[in-house]
Amino acid sequence: MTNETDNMKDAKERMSAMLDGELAPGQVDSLIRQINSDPELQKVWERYHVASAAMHGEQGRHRSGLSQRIIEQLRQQPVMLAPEPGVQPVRRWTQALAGLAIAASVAAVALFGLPSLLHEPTGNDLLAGKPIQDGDYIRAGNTYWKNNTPALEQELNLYLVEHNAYSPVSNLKGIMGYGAVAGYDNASKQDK
Amino acid sequence: MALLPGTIMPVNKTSRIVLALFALTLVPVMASETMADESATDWLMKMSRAAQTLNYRGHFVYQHDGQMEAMEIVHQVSAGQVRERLLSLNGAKREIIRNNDEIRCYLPDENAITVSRASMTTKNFPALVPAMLETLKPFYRFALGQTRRIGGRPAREVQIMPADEYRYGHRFWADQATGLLVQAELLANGGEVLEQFMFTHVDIGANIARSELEPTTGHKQMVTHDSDGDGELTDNTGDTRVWQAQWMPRGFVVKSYRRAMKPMSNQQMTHIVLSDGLAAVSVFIEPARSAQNDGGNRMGAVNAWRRHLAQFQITVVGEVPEKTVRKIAEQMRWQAGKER
Repeated sequence: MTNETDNMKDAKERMSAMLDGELAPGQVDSLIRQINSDPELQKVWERYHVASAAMHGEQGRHRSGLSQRIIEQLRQQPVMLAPEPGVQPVRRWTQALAGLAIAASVAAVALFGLPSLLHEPTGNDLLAGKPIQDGDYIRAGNTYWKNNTPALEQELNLYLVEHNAYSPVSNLKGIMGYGAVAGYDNASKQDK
Repeated sequence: MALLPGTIMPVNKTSRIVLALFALTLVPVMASETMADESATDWLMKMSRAAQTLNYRGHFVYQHDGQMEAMEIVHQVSAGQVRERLLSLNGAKREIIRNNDEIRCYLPDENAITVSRASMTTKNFPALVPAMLETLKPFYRFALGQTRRIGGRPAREVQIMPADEYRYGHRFWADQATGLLVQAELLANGGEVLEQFMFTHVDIGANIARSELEPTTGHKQMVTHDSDGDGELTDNTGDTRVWQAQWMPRGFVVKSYRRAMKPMSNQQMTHIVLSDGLAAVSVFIEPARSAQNDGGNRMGAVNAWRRHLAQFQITVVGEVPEKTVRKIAEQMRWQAGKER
């Protein structure tokens, strides 16, 4: 069990609001900067997003390995639905998740990964000891090519710009498809 | 049995079976296309029309590889002309301006502006039409998902799942009222999300001032690099080879074959676009340099594979699995003759 700082509580509250589409646009940017610079917040974000997706019935987005791990853990140990004292950001979707857990089906909720939302990881967590793996949803890393040759990275970026202009998905995504180009961040890579 | 915070509930074998069965009943059942009054393709058409007719401005989050970027977007359609501006709000302040077919990337960290022309988007890849979607059906399964609220508004889910392992799946959410794409996910074969766009705020139907579409990052010192003018670049190397992809995923065809200036260089390259109408890969062929960078590279859902063949360097880039770019790169061959 951990003692949360006020900053962490505040960040969780704003993360929850963002997932509900209720965070003011002006606050989104600062929150994202904060998440990107804080590994602990990144972990919290992963858990929030898993839970939010579950609330929206999107458990299929997680690869089967994650669900299977949870099922295996369910077979071996009881399910804990104890929110950590002091965890405040219980917004609309988190409240609904908790309600679903209590009133309906522990198994269903566990499949969706609720315990990882309701309390910080402990030795008994369903996901404890097996951190979210590559491909589960969000991976550790930054927005850059997985290569440490600056010249090659620049070259690949420029290829990507050319390629995007020819992508048929542009019909639907429009300029949003350039997110990888716009978000490319050499600075964050160099910080690593 | 009521569970209170702090309660530990033992789960015996029978309970687990019962609960598991109950859990299955809670799994959302995706409405199949044949069961729906409106089909997935109807919604894709609606999304395509919305992208070409609606004004909007907003902020969205782009996520991939554990990184989350906030972006500002402004989209204006006026008299059939589409103008867009995309600005990264964190990290390097990069900006993309689209003026119909022309795309300008303002890259202050590179001290450069690149210009390319998305002629394919409006020519070879026109707005989605039912006939085009029909041609995709052997290679993808289309389905309507559930309606959920995004940003406080009902949004309809559309899934496009690939029939083989050589392309990715898509999950889109369109604003129920307007059809505007408000969330998009790119899915790997195992179902994991490779990248996601999600609006955190959007003002649909906004009046867009011209000033909102002007770049905010450019400065006089930035060097402009134009890849090919209008795509009519004449070969200046005397090279008469015709390149062919001897392997492509089923349904892929050559959509474009052109000579272009390699951005930020004075070197020509051959740019070939292969596509099934939804997924696309680009093959870039140019005179060889060092072979030390041969092999794979990845950024989010984009994979790249480079190899050398004789005196040429072949780089394949696309939002497809690594095995696809690799196999295409390995199977590129040339024939003597005049390029198309």
